[in-house]
Parts: sequence; C-alpha cells; structure tokens
Amino acid sequence: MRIKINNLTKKYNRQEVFSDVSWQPEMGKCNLVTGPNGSGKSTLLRLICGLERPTAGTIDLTKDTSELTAAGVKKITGLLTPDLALYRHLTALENLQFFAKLGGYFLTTAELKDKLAEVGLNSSADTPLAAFSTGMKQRLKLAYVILKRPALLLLDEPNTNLDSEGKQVVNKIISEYKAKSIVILATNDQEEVGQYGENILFLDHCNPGYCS
Amino acid sequence: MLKTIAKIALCIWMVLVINAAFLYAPSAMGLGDLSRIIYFHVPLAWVGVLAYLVSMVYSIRYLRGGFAKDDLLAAVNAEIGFIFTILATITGAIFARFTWGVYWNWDPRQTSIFILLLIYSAYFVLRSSVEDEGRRARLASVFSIFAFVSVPFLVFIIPRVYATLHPDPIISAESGFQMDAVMFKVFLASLVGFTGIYTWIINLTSRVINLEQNNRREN
Amino acid sequence: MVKTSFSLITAIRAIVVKDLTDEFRTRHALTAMVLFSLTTLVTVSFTIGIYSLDIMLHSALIWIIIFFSAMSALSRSFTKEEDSGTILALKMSATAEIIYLGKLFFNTLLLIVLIAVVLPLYYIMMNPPPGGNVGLLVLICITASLSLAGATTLLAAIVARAGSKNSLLPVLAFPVLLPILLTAIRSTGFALSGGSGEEIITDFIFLISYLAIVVTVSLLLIPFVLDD
Repeated sequence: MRIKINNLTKKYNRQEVFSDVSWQPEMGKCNLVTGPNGSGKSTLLRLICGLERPTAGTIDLTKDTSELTAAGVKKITGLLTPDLALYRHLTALENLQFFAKLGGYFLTTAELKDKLAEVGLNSSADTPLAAFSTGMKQRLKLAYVILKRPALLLLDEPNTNLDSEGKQVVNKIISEYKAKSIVILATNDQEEVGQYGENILFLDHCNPGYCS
Repeated sequence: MLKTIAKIALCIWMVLVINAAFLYAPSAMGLGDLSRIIYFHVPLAWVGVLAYLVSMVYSIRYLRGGFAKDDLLAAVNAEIGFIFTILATITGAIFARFTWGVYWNWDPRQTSIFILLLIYSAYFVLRSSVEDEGRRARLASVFSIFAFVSVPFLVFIIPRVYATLHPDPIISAESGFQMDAVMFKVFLASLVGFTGIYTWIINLTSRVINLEQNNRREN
Repeated sequence: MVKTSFSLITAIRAIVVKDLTDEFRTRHALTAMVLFSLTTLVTVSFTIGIYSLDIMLHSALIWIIIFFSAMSALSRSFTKEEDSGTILALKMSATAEIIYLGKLFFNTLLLIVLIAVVLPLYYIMMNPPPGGNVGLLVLICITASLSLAGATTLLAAIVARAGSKNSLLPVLAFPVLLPILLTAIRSTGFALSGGSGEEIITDFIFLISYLAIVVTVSLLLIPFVLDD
C-alpha cells in the first residue's frame, strides 16, 4: 500500500485552506500531520480517503500495484474524526453489527464482543449510545474504526475525551497497525507529536478567521 | 464586425416579424385575430423549454467535468428560460381569457407550463439555500436533471391522457399540419427570431461570465 | 483486511433494519405523520360535519393528507443522518447507491404504514359514499406511494446536503410529484365511485413507468449528491 500526495491545494469558496502540499506517508512509521487550528489537518485526512475532492493536485493511492478508485479507498480505510458519530439509539453491539453487515465482514457476535472488550467496553455492549459518556463514545469509535482491519488508518485527534486507559488503547492500536498498514495521525497536541511523530507533516498556512 | 451585422439583422428581422404578425398574416378561421398570439406565445414557450434543455446540458457537463463555468452557464440559462416561460404563461393566459372566458382554468397545457415555472423556481430556491459553491453547483445540477425527467410526462403525456382545450396544431402527428401557408411562414419566422433573441442574450451573459471568471483568476 | 463476503441484499437490508429499529425506538417519523394526518382529518371532518362531499373532493382530500404527511416524514431519512453526524460513517462503509436503495425501501415502508393509518381513519371520519372499490383503492394508494417514495428519496438527500432546511423538500418535490398526484387523485376518484380495474390500467402503467424512470435516474445521480 503506497500513498503519494502531490502539490495538493484545497479551497472553500476561494478561501484557501492549504496549498501545494506534498507528502509521502509510509508503512512502518507513524505518520503525523500537525499545525495550528484551521491549518487543514482534518481536511487533508478527508481528501486522502476520498470524502472530498481537492481543488488542485493529486493523491496517488496504490495497493498491490493497482491504483485505487474513490470507492476502493473508502473500502480499505478506517476514518476516525471528531465529527464522526455513531447511532445514538442503537446499542454498542448493534452499531458494530450494522457496520459489519454493511461491509460484509465475517464477524460473529462473539468476535464483535471481543472487539468491544479490546477498547474496554465489554460491559456496555447492550447499552444504547445515548447513555454513553463522551469518553465511551470515543472508545466505540475506536472499535468501529478497526472493525475492518483497515489498510489505511486515519486518526483525527484520537485521544479526545479519553482517560489514561483510553489513551493506552489508542497507543496499542497505533503500534499494532503501523507495521502492516499506513497510519496517519492528525493532532495539535505537542505531546502526541513528540510521542508518535515519526514522519511529520507540518501545515503552517493559517487561515485568517480560523486561527486561534 | 460580423456580430454587429448579426445584431442589426436580428433587429430588423424581429421588426418584420412583429409587423407581419399583425398586418401580413391572415386572420384564422374561427379564432379570428386572436390567433395572432400564436406568433408570440408559442415561440416564447418554445424558448422557455429550450433554455431548460440547454441549462440541463450544462448541468450534465458540470457533473462530468467540475468546471464552475458550466454551472454558471446552467444558472444563467435557467434565469433566461424562466423569464421566457413567465412571458409564455402570461400570453397564454391572455389568450385563454379571450377565447375561453377565464385567465386560468387548469387546462392540462396550462398545468404543464405552471409546473415548468415551479421547477425553475425550485431550482433557484435550492441555489440560494446552499452557501458552498461547489456543493451548490452539484446539488442544483442534480435537481435540474432529475426534474427534467418529469417534464416529458407533463408536456406530452398528460395532455394526451386528459382532454385539453388547448389548440394543438403542431405536435400531434395524426392531425397533420393544418396551418395556412402564410401563417406558417410568419410563425416559423417568429420562432427563428425569438430563438435568435435568446441566443443573443445567452451570448452576452456568457461573455460577462467569462470576464468575471478571468478577473477572479487573476486576483 | 478482514475476510469479506459482500452482499448487496444484506447491505441494503442492514440499512432498512437499522432505520426501522431507530424508528421503532424513537417513533419520530411515525409521530409526525400520524399527528399531521390526524389533525387534518379532524379539522376537515369537524368542519364538514354531516355534509356529503363530491367524490373527487374526497379523492383530493385523501391525497392532500397523504402528500403533506409524507413530506413531513420522508425528508427525515437523510436529514437525521446529516444532523447527527452519522452520515460520515455511513459513507465510509457503503456506496451511495446502496445507501439510496436502503433509504428508498425504508421510505416505501413508511408510506405504506401511513396509508394503513390514513385510509381507515378517513373512512371512519369522513364517510365517503359507499360503493367504492376498496381493493382497487388500496392498490392505487400503494402504487402511487411507491412512486412518491421513489421520487422523493433523492430529493430528500439533496435537501439534507443543502443544510436540512425543512421547508425545502415540499418546494423541490411538488413539481416533480405533481404528475403522480394528479394521476393518483383521478384514479382514486374512480375507485371511490366503484369503478373496475381495467378502466384505469393506463394510470397504473403511468405510475409504474414513472417509478421505474425516477429510481433509475436517482441511482445514477445519488453519488453526486452524497459525495463532495
């Protein structure tokens, strides 16, 4: 699996988010995108997995020597962002069952419960999400994102709302996946940059109106 | 140079057409002088539908290529088509008042043009509710294409299924063409003239759009 | 990668079941639909009192109620995903066409439930004259509702992506649905007066061909609506 980002530019209504970004995330390292608020970290992740189209530039994604289409990319990508939400009126287990059915993954209920246990939610398998705390919701999102054992793992601020146990889960996921998949982390927490950053992209163009 | 000649020619053409409509063409049997509206009402309706078609083609082009210019042209054609359709509706209503006694009676043909007006209006409402330019262009294009799907049902099928009072000399193949030769000449001339006006307006507006785009690119 | 056995039917069914479960637990769309139809029925029934109405008026009223109740419920299928942020996870897990088909079936089921509620209530409260061909009436209502659902699902997706302004759906839907409405009202009037099926065969053909075309075009266009 290889990714190459070439001279990527993104604008919304003529307002530029970033321009002329080139980068090459690699397998075996934890790739990290950082920058001040509004510099486009989340936007970059969305462009990589094909949820949005760039204004200029290209992203070449190849897996097993064939280039991936937009649908193909989404199939192998696990995306976790703060604006991603799961279904409030379904239980944790029902949520995972739904996404497993959608993607056609062969996962039995027992295996799904194991996934929940991995993120520390085994006792809340049958609780509806509406009753979850934000930390628990984040943990479920972690379980969801690794459901398909993605070849491309995009984590946007994965440690939000997590206690130290939760952060350990994130740590475990990152170290487990960076060997066999491409892991891209987006964060502006300096500690995380220091802890995880092995191939760092720094977005420094700051958008007036969005900068803190 | 050619453009100026074409403009003047169009102007003279339309003057001739209007004169012919009132003075040269004969009065129809039965309808009498009221039939003269055909030289205005039908070309206006024709351009109204043509503009929608052109707008839809630009919408399809936008969806395939993603060039903002295609979407702007689609919008502009829709605006012009809207105006022509309103004029067609008004002239039609005037005709209705003098032939059938009421301005509006939901005759199937009237309903069809009313729906075309609704589609245009919905298109503009949709455009004004989306702020992001890319998304606005995409959603408006999709709606324009989707709404077009229902138009054939309206224009051709409903008037066939439901009896209509609307005079129908042109489209139906069975009744054959029954217009007097002189009337037909003036009618065709008017059709050409109005299409010419439409083309001219589109040409002007698309040049303005091009200038705006170039201006934007330079800044 | 996990071993996969992707099945179109399973994926679509998963979406329908998920939406049904959600609806069953919250009853949002159902409540909106039933409340709207009930309020309208009660108002009209109370005002009309014992006066008997023309058959075509009955027909028109039935469809006014169905149309506006449908509008209040059908836009929800996509706006609830956009508003709660679940659309992102959905888009990452299924293609636009699958999402569309799932929502289409769900909307169809919703409309059938609406008819099952509205028709009996209408008969009770409005007393249409007897002698109507009830079987034909039900058949017309179901066919027209299929067309309604087919036409509105894509529009609901457009409205959701446009920022979920609730009043937008009737504006966009009305011109597209008018052919269905007019046909449905005409043939419902026919059924209410006791007509037989053969005479309105053209109306059925019209509704079904409309449905086929509208769903085909929607499938082609839905990727442009959902993807950015």
